[in-house]
Amino acid sequence: MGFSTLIHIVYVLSAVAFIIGFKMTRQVETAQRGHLISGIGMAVAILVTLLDRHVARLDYILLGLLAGTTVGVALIRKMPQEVSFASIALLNAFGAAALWLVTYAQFHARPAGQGFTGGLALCVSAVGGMVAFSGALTAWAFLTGRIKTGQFSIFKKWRLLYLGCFAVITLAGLVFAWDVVAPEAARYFALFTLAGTVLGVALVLPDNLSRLPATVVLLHSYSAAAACAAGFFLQNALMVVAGALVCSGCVALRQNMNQSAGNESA
Amino acid sequence: METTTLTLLIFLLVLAAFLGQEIFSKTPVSAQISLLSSANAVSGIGVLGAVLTAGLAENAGNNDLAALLGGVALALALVNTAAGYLGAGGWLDQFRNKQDK
Repeated sequence: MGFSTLIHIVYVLSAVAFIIGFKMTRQVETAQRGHLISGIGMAVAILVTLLDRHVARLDYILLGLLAGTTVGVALIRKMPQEVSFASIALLNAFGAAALWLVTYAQFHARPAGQGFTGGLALCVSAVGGMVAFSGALTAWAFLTGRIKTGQFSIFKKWRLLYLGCFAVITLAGLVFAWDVVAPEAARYFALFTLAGTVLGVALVLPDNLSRLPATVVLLHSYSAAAACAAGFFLQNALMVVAGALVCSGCVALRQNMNQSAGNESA
Repeated sequence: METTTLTLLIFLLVLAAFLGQEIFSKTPVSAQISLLSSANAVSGIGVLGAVLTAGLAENAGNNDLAALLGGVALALALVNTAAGYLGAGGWLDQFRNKQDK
């Protein structure tokens, strides 16, 4: 039994921990314990990934672990006591930026051997990460009062802008995935990243404060989709499972929130 | 990518997607934010990708940049995960209260 068997067993247990954690967070009484179980699952999954055969060096990993934990703990001490949509949006922006960086690094390191499906996964991951990053930052700026909402309602053509961005992303993504090793592939990567940035900001700008929480949830489903897609080109099953769980879950949660908001106003 | 691997991963994707929809639907309003912060912490699963990228071996010269970017990504993703879990669990609250006094 090699390390890879151990990794897979632990990944299955982590996935179970996430699912049980979610179920427990649904009730206020068990929420704290649910977070603990899910957090243990995450910690064990990170530790066991260090044993992966693709991990050939530890210097950057240790630096990253140290810097990330320090900043994370410092940040949470600065944040208000109550968990708010603003702080969740800010944290999500960090995670989404990380996903985009991972995607670019993987594209830079070994575009060969990815093939068409790998190329599509790279595109989805880069776009999802970037949309969630720029959108979550904008939402955070709105929610903390750094920008005033409602001043962007003069512009009426949001739907057209979304369609345009979507068309650019689809076309650039298909051409990119068709030949990932082509020298001009980096240009298509830059193109759909740029379109993703615009789309993320544009998704949030027309919102007013009451609709922002639902949009934060929507942006979450994008970053989870990016994590899921990254699981495909990294061939990591736990990333696929957790990404898909959170992505579809956030879509369901958003419908739920929109419904309850509709009931209140009625 | 091998077809078997791809098929299995798509299998996982579809099943997990339905499960997520099932777990998250009909959430009581009071639990929405707590569930979302849990979801945020779990979507910090990108940490795994960052670890795999930061551990890329050095070859052909250009992998060092990839590993460096992976290290930066790991730091960013950990900010999300660490702060997500610690904040949502409220385990730093006691510590914070002591500091305020």
